[in-house]
Amino acid sequence: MILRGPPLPPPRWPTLVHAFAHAAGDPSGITFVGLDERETFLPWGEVYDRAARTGAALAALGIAPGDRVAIVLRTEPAFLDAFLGAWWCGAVPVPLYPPVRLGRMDEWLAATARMLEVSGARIVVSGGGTRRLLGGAIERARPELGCVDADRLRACAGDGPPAPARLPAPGELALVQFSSGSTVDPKAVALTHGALRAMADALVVATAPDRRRDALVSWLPLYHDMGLIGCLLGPATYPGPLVLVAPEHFLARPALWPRAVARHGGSISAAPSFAYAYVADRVRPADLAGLSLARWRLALDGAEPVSGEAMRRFAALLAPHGFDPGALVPVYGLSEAALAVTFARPGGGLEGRRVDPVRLARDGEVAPGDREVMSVGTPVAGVEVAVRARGPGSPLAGEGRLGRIFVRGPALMRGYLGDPGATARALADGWLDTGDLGFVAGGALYVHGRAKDVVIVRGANHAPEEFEVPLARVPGLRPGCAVAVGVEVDGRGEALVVLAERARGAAEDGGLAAEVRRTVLEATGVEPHEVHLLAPGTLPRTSSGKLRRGEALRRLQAGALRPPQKVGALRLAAMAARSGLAYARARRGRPPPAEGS
Amino acid sequence: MTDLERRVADEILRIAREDLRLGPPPAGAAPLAGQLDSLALLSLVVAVEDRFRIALSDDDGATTRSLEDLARLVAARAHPEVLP
Repeated sequence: MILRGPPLPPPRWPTLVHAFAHAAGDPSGITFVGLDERETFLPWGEVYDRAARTGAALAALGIAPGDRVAIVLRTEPAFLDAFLGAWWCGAVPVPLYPPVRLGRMDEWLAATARMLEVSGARIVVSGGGTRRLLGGAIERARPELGCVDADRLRACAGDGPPAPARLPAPGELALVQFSSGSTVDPKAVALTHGALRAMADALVVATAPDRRRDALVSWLPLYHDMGLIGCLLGPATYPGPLVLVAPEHFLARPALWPRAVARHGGSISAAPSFAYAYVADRVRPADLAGLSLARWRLALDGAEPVSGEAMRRFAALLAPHGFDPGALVPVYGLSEAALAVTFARPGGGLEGRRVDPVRLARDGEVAPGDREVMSVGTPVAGVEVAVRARGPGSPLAGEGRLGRIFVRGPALMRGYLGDPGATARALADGWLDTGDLGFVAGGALYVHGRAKDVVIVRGANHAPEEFEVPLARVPGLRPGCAVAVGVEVDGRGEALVVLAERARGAAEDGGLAAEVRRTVLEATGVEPHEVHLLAPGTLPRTSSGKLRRGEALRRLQAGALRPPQKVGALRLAAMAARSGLAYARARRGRPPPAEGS
Repeated sequence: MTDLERRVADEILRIAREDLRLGPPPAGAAPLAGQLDSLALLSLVVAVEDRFRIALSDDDGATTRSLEDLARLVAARAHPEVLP
């Protein structure tokens, strides 16, 4: 099946740098909401002015067009200074995630160092305590110009009027974002200015913002495509009011999100399914007393498998405040496509299609069952989606048949920075192999499962090795015989499941599973939803002995993950007899093999 | 641990149990990162900051690993009026 989005309208701006320069004249801007709900407002003009000063300082330090500028800052004005400052002088921002508070510092430093190396960053812009902690990563990666403080950078630009921004060509590199941050296999997605412009234009078509009436409210991290491209760069192009809450503040106090929406008359917001479930679980009616959410017209749900149950619980909590359940819209996208691929139709209902997960996993066939899968709709403007039976170039899968999802359009990545092999595997003949699986039914796309090795927890992509490598030190497990996979949990989004083979003779008590849980949690901050301890040899492997994660998950879901059958003398004799018969049949149909072959 | 630090630790455990409903309480000297996922840990830090009216910096995060470390830090930094 191929689904096609509407045509992309003519570009409004050559690039988003042009759009930002234009936004500087608009009275709207960005409001930063603190944990205590104190607010700081920066009009777009001031955003631009600060960026120009930072960009001038970066240029004075020797940053040239095309250089990568890594940014390790939280959701704060300094992030915009550094990001837009890099654009101002023609450089390429590389946003990286700041440390999680309390613990796991070593893992964060190792991952940051690796991402600095992969991105080829010439300089790191950070600030405050985060910058003091970055020493270990800077020492390992050794960016040529070291690590600078964002506030000091802006201050040293001088008092004169800043020079205008360098306006890039659409084909130039605009952004490097990591599709998953890890020490093992960080994938640096390289996007051009033309791709970002096309995505911003497609988002404007999909959300039809009215700059006099709409306000976008976001708590999503700015080092992630949905927060950065969807919620920061998009609104800057029309331009319109934007309200930002730091993700760590939302996670600590989830009521901040609907409260900020109510205070600012917010009408557009986006989040992964886990956040809708989290609000439904944690926000109390008293937190919302007296608030109206009647202007909220788009609550986009994506970045991980969409949970209908999470959306229904969220809608039920907010219904007394005038929230329209029709505002909840499942979406699908990935950073390699610069964010959005498909949008469902607003008001399309909160009930998904119920399918049989075992037949889907075993036969690739959509049949009625009890697993709810939400439609993620149809392609956004300029985008085509193909569901193919197998890999690139294979036949298209028919209606209601599970296949592999491919995407084509003007916003695809240029490739993975410094990794031509991975780029060639992902991009062929203009099509991006998303690695996701899905099917088309009733003219809409449904995403269910994936062929690529990635686990998405709370909207963040994790390479499975992040969870598997620490398990090598757990006594009682077969070394190198564990896989991490993601499974959908009803009403909760995706969760981590660990499948690990016991060492021969290891006890079958609950102690080993508890140790597996503790080890993964301590190393990664993610607690496994389930741990399955398996008999040796149960996990499927390739002919070269590599573990097959996707196949292990498919067998688990199909109820077919079983240890290899024991081969006794009788069974061996039966197998030899069957083999002999097969040879005899083969000889009858073909000439005997040549001597020596 | 001093008496004050123990009382602070008890109050942190109460916050984890009653306010945040975090499940099994974190144990004293073991690393918090091995007992709470990143979301629960973040919620606990912010709730502790709120309750004791202090701000934990990224630098504090690098040196505070266990419940006991956290209780000591709070006892040393919080105003006596807000301590249990």
